[in-house]
Amino acid sequence: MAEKCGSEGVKKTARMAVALIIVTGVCLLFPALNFGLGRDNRVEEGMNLRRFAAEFSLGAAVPTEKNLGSGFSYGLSVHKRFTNKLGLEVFLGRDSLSLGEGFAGLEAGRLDYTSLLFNGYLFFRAKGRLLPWAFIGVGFYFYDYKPNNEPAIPDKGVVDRFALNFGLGMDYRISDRVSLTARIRYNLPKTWVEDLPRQVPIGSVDPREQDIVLIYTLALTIGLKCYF
Amino acid sequence: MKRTLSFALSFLLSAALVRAQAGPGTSDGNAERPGKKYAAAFSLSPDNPTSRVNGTIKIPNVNLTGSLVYERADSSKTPESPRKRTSAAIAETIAINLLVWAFDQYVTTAEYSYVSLETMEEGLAHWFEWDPDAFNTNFFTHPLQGCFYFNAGRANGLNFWESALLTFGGGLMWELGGERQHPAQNDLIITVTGGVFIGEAMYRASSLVLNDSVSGGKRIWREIVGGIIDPMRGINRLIFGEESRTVPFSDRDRTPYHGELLLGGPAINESAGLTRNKTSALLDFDFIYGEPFKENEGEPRKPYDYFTLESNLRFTRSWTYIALEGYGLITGKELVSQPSQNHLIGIFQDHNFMHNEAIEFCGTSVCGGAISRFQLAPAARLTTTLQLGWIMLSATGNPYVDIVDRHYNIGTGIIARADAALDLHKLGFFFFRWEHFGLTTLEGAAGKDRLDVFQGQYTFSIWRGMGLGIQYTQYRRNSDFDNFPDIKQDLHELRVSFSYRF
Repeated sequence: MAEKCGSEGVKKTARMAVALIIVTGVCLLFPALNFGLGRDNRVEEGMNLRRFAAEFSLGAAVPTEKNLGSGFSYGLSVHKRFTNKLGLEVFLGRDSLSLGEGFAGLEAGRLDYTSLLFNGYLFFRAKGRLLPWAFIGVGFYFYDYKPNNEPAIPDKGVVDRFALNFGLGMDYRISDRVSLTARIRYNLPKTWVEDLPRQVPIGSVDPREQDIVLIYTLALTIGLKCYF
Repeated sequence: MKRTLSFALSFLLSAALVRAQAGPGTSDGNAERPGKKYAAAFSLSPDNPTSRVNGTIKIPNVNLTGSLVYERADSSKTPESPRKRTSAAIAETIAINLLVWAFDQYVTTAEYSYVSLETMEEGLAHWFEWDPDAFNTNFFTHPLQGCFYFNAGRANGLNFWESALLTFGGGLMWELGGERQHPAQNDLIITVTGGVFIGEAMYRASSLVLNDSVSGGKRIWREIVGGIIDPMRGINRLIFGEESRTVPFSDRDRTPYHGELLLGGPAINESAGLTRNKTSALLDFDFIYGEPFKENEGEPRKPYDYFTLESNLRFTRSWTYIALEGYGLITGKELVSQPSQNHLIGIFQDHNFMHNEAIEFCGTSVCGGAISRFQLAPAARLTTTLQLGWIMLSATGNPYVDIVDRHYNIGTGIIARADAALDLHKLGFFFFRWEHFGLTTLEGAAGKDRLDVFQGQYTFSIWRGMGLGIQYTQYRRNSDFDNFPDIKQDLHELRVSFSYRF
């Protein structure tokens, strides 16, 4: 029964990811094709970079803590480039991890989280096909714990947090409007497990009295970025 | 809900106001003002009047009455105006908050840094309250944080008031989102007022060092020292390439200043309520920037064109005591301006932070007052300062208060201050001060705190700005509480010192 629940969750995540890929791909690729995919060589000559971009990324989330297993990672982001060097990203993503028995006193299951992140970008190059960059930022992490033996009313939950993330990556520009991206993102949320339902407001809970767990993950993704 | 909206609106308003005032223009910082009409080149110190003369500063003309003659700078020799970068200032203020939060979360793992969307919502749903943090957290680190906000504005070309508004916005953002505690009015007040006081002092002091007309080694050390004095300005100069930009003519701030670095070992005598009797080393730094009597120069007066800053560190086996006091002239009007005497009335911002065996006190005040200067003889000048004002917020250490990390009363009250400085040139320098703080408890142990500081000092020059001196300071506390035993304490310091004036 437990295995069935776990595999159902994975399938659900996979279905969502595939659907998102298709929708995003359609949204991004059609304008990209329309605006010159495959027939623009100016990217190598240092043309002005466009200021706005949207990106869909998909990959794997690899936790660095014991008893946490890897899973999917996917997300959508919008970028604004202020100068040749600096930009800003708003990222909405979803990561799915498998949870082994004994992690933070939780039963085996899945730990998914949605992240809403705000990142500053430093671009190392402004010309050429390969454009490496680094980013750092903060954002909100919303956790969704699902034990394999899922009770009707969950009796434990993982507290949502505000946390740091940083990473690096690069764009491979295949046209003026379209890039392929590769990215490593390190998420650093520190949180704790609480009993549900919550008895007191979260602001009244002293984190120093909790067993803090580190849900640090590396998200390795590739993506498609479309400039506007 | 109304409160939430009011907070959000005030934050947006502060950002919008700053934004609205952005645009082509110049800051009011002297270093960056293109039309600086006068260049004063003198030291207030009688010991070393030409110590700051270099290739760009001329030796002053001091007439027999002791008045100072300013030399008009060539108005065509103006440096390039800095561009106002409002967006950068706001982005840096946000970045400061995020950096402080990240440091608290991942390095010190402070409890208050465990924030989330839920804690932010809770913070928005509550009205401001008095927070229970420790004295140093609230009254030392918050003003420091505020000065970084303020200097993010100043370094990006915002003027004094715009930067003060930015400081308010940065402090509000921190209170509403940077901590898991409910927003605290004491934090916001001290962040803004302390940040403005320290920030403007740092900015003005760094302007005395920076000079875009020089290059090579001279430029490097000026940039390094300027960056140490005002780190936000140093960072911005690096980001925007100003550290390597050269202009054809000196744009260094030539406002007169006077500083004193003092080393001494105060002997602390025990008195009522104090049982310790010890000697500990002291490092003291005093700084006076600007000239209060300047209306004859035809230049408009701007906030902090004149300010004083006094700081000292006293090292004991168990603790390093810190004191930081000073005031800035916000606006003023000269009533009399004659060779023999000058009188000015004005509004001052005072900031007092003192921590010793008898008194743990921080207050931020706005005062009305007067500065007078009397040229008694060619070599005798008396300068007096009188101030009376309202202490907007004070914190006074109190053994009866034990609320989480808070062991102090929060209060409000009056401040009175009288200074007299008699400068006899070669015969030495006499200084007397009396300060009184009358405080009423707003939060904590109900009652009255009366704090007095009396200081007397004599210094004489021995060689090229170096001097020997003797100083006596008395700190007196007389506190009456409604429900607790009263506290009466005195601390006497007698200090023999070696000083260097510049």
